[in-house]
Amino acid sequence: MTRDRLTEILAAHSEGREPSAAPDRTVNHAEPDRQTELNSLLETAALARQVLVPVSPAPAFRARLHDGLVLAAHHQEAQRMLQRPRSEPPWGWLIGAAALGSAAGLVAIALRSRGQPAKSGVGPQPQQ
Amino acid sequence: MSEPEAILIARAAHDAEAFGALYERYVDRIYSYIFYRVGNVHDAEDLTARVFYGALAHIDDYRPSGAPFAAWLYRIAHNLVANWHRDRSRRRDIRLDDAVGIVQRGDGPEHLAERSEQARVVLSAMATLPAERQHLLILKFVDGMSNAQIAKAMGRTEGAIKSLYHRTLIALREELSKREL
Repeated sequence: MTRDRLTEILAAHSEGREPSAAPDRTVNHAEPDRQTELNSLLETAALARQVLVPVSPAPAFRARLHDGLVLAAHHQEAQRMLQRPRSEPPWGWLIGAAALGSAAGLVAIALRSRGQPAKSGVGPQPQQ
Repeated sequence: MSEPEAILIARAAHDAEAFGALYERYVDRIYSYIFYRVGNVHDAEDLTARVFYGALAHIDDYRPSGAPFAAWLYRIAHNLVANWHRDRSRRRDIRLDDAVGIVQRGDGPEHLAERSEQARVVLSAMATLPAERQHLLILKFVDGMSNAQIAKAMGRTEGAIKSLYHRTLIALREELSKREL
């Protein structure tokens, strides 16, 4: 029995099934060392399987952690909603920009009208 | 019928109750894994909580790339346990009292002493193995995973897992023989 074959037998045994068909499917009794090796490793696996049983957390801890996680998840989702970019136009910015533009326009008109000479006959006229 | 996992995971990213349902599906497995890696209830509870709070914080990062969601959780747990060992400089020794108490469950008194000593020896031997080999033994015997499932969880090929299992049994047997078991 090769080492690879031993690997396959151990892997199959760990899953509770027979190893795939191979020329040396039954252990060759002319190889007592391999048989001894196989038995020893199977015993080791059996010991590990016997000791390593599933465990569960204490019910109080389990419930407490569940409640804490759900609360944290709610908080996390609320944070995400606050940070989400807005889909509607920023009306405040638009109105502010329009007001600023209007004010700038009025100032420009006032400055232009101060700089132009008077067009009526009233007041001193330039000498001809 | 329980909700298909892919749908549950997608919902969990923005639905607190869905994340709670995911937690219920995996808490026992993650707790078991951590318990056998650290050997006591207190630290197992602490690290289990950290695994799931970490998963919640990074649920958007999870990508179903072929490896199951459990593999992602195990990876988080594995890293936290590695940090725990490093921070406490407990490379080899673990507290076995809680673990032995678990193994005693369901036994009649006539076998109790024998099993508790046997469990102590086996767990002590297992604690000396590299993390990867402990991980394999826990997934196989505690979680009942097949070699193919373990391969996905550990990011290896099935052939590599079979070889690792063979080498792990040899190493465990050597440690047990030192302890005359």
